[in-house]
Amino acid sequence: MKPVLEFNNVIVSFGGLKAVNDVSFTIEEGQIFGLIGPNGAGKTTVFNTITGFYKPDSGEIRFLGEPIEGKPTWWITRKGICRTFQNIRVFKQLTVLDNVRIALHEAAEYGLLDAGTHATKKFRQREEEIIKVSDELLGGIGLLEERSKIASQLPYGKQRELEIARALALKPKLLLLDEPAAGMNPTETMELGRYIKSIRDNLGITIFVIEHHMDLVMGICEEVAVMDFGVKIAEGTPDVVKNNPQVISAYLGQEVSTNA
Amino acid sequence: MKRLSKNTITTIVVILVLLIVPQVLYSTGVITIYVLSILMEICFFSISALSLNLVFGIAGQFSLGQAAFVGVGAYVFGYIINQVPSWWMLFPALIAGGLASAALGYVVGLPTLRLKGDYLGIATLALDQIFVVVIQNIKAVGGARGFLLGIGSSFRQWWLFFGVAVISVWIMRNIVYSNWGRTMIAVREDDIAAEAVGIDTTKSKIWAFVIGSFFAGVAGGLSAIYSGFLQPNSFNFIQSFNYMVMVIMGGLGSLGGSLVGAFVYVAFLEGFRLLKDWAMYVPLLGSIAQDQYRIVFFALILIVIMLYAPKGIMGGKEFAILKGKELEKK
Repeated sequence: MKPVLEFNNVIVSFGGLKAVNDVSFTIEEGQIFGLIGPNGAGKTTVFNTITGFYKPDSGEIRFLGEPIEGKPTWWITRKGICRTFQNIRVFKQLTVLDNVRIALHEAAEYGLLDAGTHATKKFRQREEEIIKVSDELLGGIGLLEERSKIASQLPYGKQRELEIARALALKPKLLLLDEPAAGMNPTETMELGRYIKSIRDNLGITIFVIEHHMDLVMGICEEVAVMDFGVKIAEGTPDVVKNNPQVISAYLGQEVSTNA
Repeated sequence: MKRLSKNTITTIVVILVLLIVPQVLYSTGVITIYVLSILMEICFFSISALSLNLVFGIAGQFSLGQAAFVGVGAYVFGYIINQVPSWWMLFPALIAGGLASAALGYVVGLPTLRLKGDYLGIATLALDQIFVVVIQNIKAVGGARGFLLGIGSSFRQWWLFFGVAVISVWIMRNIVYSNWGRTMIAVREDDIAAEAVGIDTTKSKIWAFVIGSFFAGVAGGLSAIYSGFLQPNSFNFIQSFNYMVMVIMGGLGSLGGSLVGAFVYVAFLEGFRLLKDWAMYVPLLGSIAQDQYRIVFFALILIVIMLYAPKGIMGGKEFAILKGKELEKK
């Protein structure tokens, strides 16, 4: 197994607060890796650091062996790490189709002259290609009928799927999902779990997911890391992690001694 | 031979009518040179308003430096055409003005586009001031006194103004409905999400700035032909606000809006001149300085428009002929 992402002794601090304190983990190719922890544990900060929104104070992050810490977000994205956001960030005022088309900007490859005249063969070919690929992606998540709708008019769950489709348009090697099941009911969550698995199985994309729904995490992840107050407190298979006393106390609180 | 779509035919007809009718009306004496001049003014204001819309409405970068970019185009055009006052130099000089302005856009955009919103506005506002002061101190272009273009009125042709406007609008529209425009719109909508889909937001913003500045410069060249005289203060920050008024009044982000905005702006300001004759009978209006009351009227109209159409006259809509192609499913 080849490591896709190596996160080594990373420290990220905001003023005096160490949001991520000396955290290390490695994600192998083809894994679905879960990161759990109570609110404020620093999970999203880990995502933001991987994707270049924050610069780590120290430590190193390697993607397919190449150091990526401190690089701009767009550069990291083009390397093959795509993400979704906890509070969905689709382009709300744009159409469903445009949301996906924007993500295909690299496939455009035409210059200002092509764009300014719309007359070149290259322009027409590329634009047609972009629409074709977009429609395929939208068809894959059942949004083809709604392609000319404004994204904000879609129901919440659909917006999430659109966000994932937009990330997939970039052909990532590693997909970062930040609480994809937030605000979903149990049926939708189950469906989402299947969808995430199918992305890995059918497209071979390694997946790194932050999640609060234990059922989802335990159901799909092969490896789970647990964070609390910026520190990694456990890592292992879902079963091992579930029974770790430190994890239980982080989530449910310390058992109070009765004979005090 | 490919069959032309209905939309293309409409576009061509509209353009031909607008090209021929004013010229014919003028030649037959139905409209005066004054009316034709107003139409010319609308042409170059349309270009500069639309180029600002590209920066502010499409790419979402609040810029108050538009007048400086127009000014650079005007001065470079004026200087070149004064050296070689002949027809064959006309288009090279117009393009040179645009390129000079685009270069300035690049140099200014590189550091300032890191700023957001109001801060960018202030920084670009400073650009207007710098432009005026710098020009005031360059003797070669007449300094504060300004300088006369040695071409007289021979270039003041309707077809030239209208033609350059049509080509500029066409190119800008094409850019907006291409990958270039889409990345700019993505930056405007959500720059964090744009970065997360691999768009180099700084580069995208700079391109918007450079393209916008280019066309502002071209518009500047036309304005130089129009007035035949250049003076630094006609490109101060007040003029930047005027462009902003056109863009917002017409509808931010709507291409047609900027054209409507430029039209309404010029048409109303000129139209109010007609009120001069009776305004003297109205107690308050008569006492307002001769040329100022039309500004007061215009401000009132502006308030009414903003009250009843806060998204601008076009309200986020677009003229059919300026829209992108209907996208069929593949």
